[in-house]
Amino acid sequence: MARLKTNSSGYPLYPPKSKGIKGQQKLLSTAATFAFLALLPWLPIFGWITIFDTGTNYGLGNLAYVFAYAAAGIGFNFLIGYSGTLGLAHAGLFAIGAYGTAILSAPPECVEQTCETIVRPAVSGYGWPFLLTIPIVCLFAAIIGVLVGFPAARLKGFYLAIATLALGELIVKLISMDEKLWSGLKTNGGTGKQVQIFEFFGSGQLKSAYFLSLAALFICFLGHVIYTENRLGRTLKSVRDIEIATGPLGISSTYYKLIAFGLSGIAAALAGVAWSQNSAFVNPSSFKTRLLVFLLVVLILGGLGKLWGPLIGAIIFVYIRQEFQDSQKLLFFLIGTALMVAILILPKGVASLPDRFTDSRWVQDLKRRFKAMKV
Amino acid sequence: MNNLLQQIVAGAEAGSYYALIGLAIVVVMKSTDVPNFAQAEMGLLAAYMCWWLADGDQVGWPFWFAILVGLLFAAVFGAAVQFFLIRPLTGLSNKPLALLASLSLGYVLIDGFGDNGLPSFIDWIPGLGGGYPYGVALTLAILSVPLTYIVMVKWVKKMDVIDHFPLLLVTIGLTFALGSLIEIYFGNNPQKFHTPWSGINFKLGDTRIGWDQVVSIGMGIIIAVGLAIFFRTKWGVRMRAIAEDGTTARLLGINAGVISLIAWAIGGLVAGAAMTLKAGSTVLELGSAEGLILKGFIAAVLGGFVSLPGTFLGGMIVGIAEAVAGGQISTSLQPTMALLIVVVVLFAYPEGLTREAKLREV
Repeated sequence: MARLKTNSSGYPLYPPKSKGIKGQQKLLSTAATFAFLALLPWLPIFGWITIFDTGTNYGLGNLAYVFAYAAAGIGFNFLIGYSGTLGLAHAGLFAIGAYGTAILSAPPECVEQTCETIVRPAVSGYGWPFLLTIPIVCLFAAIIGVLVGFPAARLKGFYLAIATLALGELIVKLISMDEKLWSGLKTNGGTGKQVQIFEFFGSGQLKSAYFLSLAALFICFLGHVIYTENRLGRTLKSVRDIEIATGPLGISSTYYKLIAFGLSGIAAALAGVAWSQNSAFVNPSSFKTRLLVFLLVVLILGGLGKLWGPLIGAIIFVYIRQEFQDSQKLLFFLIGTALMVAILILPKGVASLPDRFTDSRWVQDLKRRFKAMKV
Repeated sequence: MNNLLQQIVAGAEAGSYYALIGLAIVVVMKSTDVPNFAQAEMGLLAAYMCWWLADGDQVGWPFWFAILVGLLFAAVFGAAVQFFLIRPLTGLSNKPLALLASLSLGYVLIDGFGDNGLPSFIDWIPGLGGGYPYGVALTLAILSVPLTYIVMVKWVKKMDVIDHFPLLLVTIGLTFALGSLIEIYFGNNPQKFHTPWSGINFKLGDTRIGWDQVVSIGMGIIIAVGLAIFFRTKWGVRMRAIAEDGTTARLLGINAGVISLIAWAIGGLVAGAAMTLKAGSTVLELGSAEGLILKGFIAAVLGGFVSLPGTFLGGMIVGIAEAVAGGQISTSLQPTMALLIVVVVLFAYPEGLTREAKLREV
């Protein structure tokens, strides 16, 4: 862990971004990575890892899952890593994204003989253009996220975790409720819903899903870089680290926590949209507590409060999941063990390994000797 | 409205399981400040153990002896989880964990990899096609075991606990690992657990009540009262002292390690009893822990995480409200009832339903 700079009385300092090229490091590395990822379908360089081989449909789909989980993980990071608030309703917000576009973009119901194509109630929706539904769904998820975040004003830590966990479950339960209660919602009850596939200029489902997921991840990444580099990010960090001191400074911690909830809702909905386009089918049972645990594994294994953490975590997670997809029991054993080991050995995640290395006594000693040699 | 009585009894039965899991969570929380998400899964392991020992097709021991051994196993397992997994995180010795982890890694390397062919996840390493010979596996184990031990001893440290979050995550990981261990060793078919009282009914007016329901509710009450009495004894008071202010209690000469071990053993025992009762009354299956743990936490929230009577009442309220709402209003309301209750309670009474709970700042 990089040591936090503190002032004379031990409170953390959050220095503003440094000038020049050094201050733009995050932006530059993000741009380079995304240029690479966007070209990846035409560069079959991962052929030796079958799971991420972009020459095949299988590899493309897996990478799309990686991006979707990483996007959701970044949203989770806004909340847990930066504002220190334990909101665990993320699976529900993810479900809102996935179900929202599935319902809004599906063609309207049409079972009479006069129709061009027959659309059964199970796949019917409102027939809105797909790209228009994304901002609507994101806005809706942000509102729900803020509503879910209201207990944050009264509850702390683990009590908040229970409350938001229950609220997230509640969202999924409401989606899977009886058709009779929710006839206007067209969620098709607990049996799941077929997703209308969107294709960019006829490039095929998998490539479209790949680029859609990449776009979702890019937006979340950009949001993350902007968010952590300016006043909002520093304020949220101070709410996390020294909440008691923010009040006298005129910062309403509740207000900033709600902002974090809303932003994480947007990221979760974006990830849900990308995920549903990739899986082509949404079902309430995909959004239960298990999804939340997957997202926690992505976040914790990768690194809490780190830019690259969720992406690294998602790569590891999807790799394990695909490698052991034939034996579910072994898969869950490995995921559970990975979570335990990550907390025990690397509580700051894989992304903290470089920091850990540079902070180690051995490297510090080397540095000191190097300096002495120069002088 | 005889139907109503039936629903209340069924609700009270479900409520007693919620209450028992909630009580186990509260006992652990009270003494070690760990929110144990794996409590129901640990209980399920004990229930499977009881079934395995008592079932005629498996080991086939006499019923009561099997139950006794199974519950003893539950207590020992609870204590073992504390000893190996939780102790290092709360700042005590991490050597048992390091020893356990490195030895099990060595076992996996020798037993899983040696001669059995390579696991598929490293088959892309060139030159290793076809599997290790036994000697290579042994060498790998000899090299990696001490390394793991050293890394664990050096790197596993006390957490700077932010709102119990890492502890919650460790127990979530434990839940998943335990769930699949149960599946690996006992299979994933639902099993019928025969008890001396299963399938026998009696009539109260026009309502048919099963003896298994009576046993479940009765045992729930007995265990709750027993725990309440225990917390008035010397050991119980020490446990509360550790929870309130660990440092001061330790300065006064209370052995925190032993107290935590006892609390986890009690928690495991209570959860094991709950899951065994549930298995005897309904069916023994893998998914039963997943639904129960959230309800157990809800019961604990209703008791403010400190009050034993509050937790018991909370579990009962949730169980009965679910059953009655499902029966009288709409069956689709049943799964959402508990969630609605906890949301409302957390908004209105964040410190729990009973007054005792005000001792803890929320």
